[in-house]
Amino acid sequence: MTEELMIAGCLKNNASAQEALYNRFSPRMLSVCYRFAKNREDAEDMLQEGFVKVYTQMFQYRNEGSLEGWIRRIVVHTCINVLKKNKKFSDSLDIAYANGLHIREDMIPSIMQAKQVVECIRLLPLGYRTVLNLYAIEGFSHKEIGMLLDIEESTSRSQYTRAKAMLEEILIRKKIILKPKEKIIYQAAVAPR
Amino acid sequence: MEKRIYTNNFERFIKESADDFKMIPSKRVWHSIYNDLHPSRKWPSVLMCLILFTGMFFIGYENTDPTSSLSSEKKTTQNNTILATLENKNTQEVTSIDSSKDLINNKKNNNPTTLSTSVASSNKVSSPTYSREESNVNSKKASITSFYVVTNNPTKNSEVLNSKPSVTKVNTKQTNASITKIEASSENTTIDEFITNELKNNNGVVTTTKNMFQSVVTKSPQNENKIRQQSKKDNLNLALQEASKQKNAKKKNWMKNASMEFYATPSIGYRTMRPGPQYDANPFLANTTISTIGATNFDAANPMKHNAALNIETGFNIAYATSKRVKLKAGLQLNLTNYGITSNITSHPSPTTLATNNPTTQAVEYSSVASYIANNTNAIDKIHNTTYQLSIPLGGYYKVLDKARFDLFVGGSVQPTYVFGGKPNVISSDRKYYINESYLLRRFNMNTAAEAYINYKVGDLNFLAGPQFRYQLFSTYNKNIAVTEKLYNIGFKVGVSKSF
Repeated sequence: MTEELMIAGCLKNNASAQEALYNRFSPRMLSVCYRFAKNREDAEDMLQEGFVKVYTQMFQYRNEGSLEGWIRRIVVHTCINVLKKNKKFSDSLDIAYANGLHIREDMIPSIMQAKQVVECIRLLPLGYRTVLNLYAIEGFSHKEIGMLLDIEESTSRSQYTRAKAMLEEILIRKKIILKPKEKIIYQAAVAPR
Repeated sequence: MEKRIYTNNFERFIKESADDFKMIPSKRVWHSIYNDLHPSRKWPSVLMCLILFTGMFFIGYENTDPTSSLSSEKKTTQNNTILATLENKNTQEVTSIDSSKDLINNKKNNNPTTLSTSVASSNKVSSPTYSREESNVNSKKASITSFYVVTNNPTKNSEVLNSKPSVTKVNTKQTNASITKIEASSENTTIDEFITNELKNNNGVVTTTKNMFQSVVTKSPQNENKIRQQSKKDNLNLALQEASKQKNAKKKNWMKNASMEFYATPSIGYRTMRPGPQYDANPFLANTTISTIGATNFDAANPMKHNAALNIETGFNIAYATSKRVKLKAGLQLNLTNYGITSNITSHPSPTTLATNNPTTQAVEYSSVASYIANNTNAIDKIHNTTYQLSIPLGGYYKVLDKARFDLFVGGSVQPTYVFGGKPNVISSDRKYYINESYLLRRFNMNTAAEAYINYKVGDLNFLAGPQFRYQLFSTYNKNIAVTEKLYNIGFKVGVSKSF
């Protein structure tokens, strides 16, 4: 079923068109929710709420951008709204600066393990994770994030910096990316003498 | 500048990794969305619930209706046939009054059940005795000079008179005996108590039947045989009438053959565990990023500390006897399955992998966060693999042994099962962690059960007890998980059943 047919069907509240739309986009949208949520059950609840909004607001879609981008935007906003209802989330945005984490300039990720990376992102504190998701993955600006989360733009920047540093530390510890020194040693070890 | 380039690469790496990640939502999500979008289509399920509840109400109503009262009526007839004998030394006159016609008419008209008593009224009488036996006139020459007609309340099974009897005496022509009619009034007095009291007070022979008033009076011992024969004839007629009524009732009401069982089966539950049918170790061995300890040596049970635990199932069946020996059953059952795991609870989440047996790629793995360390020699924490199931047992029984007080049945059933909850702990691909995620459960499963039980009859009730074996046909986990775990239980069923 083409996107046009799906949209037309959804506007008529046609169940088969709605299911086709859901089947096409739900796996990717669930992974979006999963990065924000505490666990899979919460992610599925967010997905459910997001898709209900998608169907009920389908008439607002103007066919100007990609349908997936539009749906993703709604789902991300739904996730943020769900998180903002949780007091723990607002507390987590005030986490003090984590010292001792620095960005290493010569670090290049060597192993692409999408799922493991996502799980590592989920290990971050909730506030860090949310800002990192919004900025690095969803493409929001710090200004937009500030408005979305009701925080200062500068807070968003600092949260992101700390989040990135912590994520890097986790990825190294889990050996998903290598430390620069280890890489050099490894290359030296395998190089022909 | 170099820093900026790195930063951009790092962010791109994160974004690409995140975008590559997809998850399949459970069916529950779509069903919930569908119900939100189409609330009117909930009506079929609501209608089904209504039908179910109406059906159950109907069955309950039928259970208390004339079908059951018919059998109890028969029993009451026998029980209430009370013969009280009294030895009367001096009198030889016996008065005969047959009021059975009136009583039958009363019954047809749904009049209150009539209890008749004949009491010898001589003053020179030894102490009375009476027993619950079929009607039998005492061979002693009792002189019955008065009658007591007791009108019971409409409750058919009750032997309780809701009233303190009011007494009216009437003299008979033949014997100048006094006939006393006793109407029910308002105090609780049992028939037995009443008769006993009356016997003590009047020193007479008391004969009571619920459905028939029979009192035979003779003037000489030669008439004794006639009295006996007449009594036998009447009893035979009565029995034939009852049998005929029961036969007609059977024809009219098929539910006579049906019964309802309630039962519970405590059991010991454990599991079998082996690789999934499509499991392939090669992709794991080729993958350098994950531990492959468990990939080749898939003897999943060895490194893990599992033990059997207490399970229980409870529910009800409606059984229908298709012949003297065969019963078919259908019902509803709740199961709690459970077995124990010894592990170490981690103080922090640890990413791990879960082996899957995807038929296309053979290499798909879920990345998940572990909850417990599995393979630890010093493990001390006890956790449980638990599921909550709702199943519909469909099966039958065969009566192997048929004795007066008990029967022996063997039977079996298949049980389509819905798993509505649970706490699965799935072993990771490297056998180091347990992943505790409820979405890994298979929602629809199938169980089988074999059982043998003794059916012990006590009045209207049958008590059941016997061993049962239950086995789960499909894996506890969904089909993508490379571990196939099947649960089984060995238990002891106890229950009670009652015919409609």
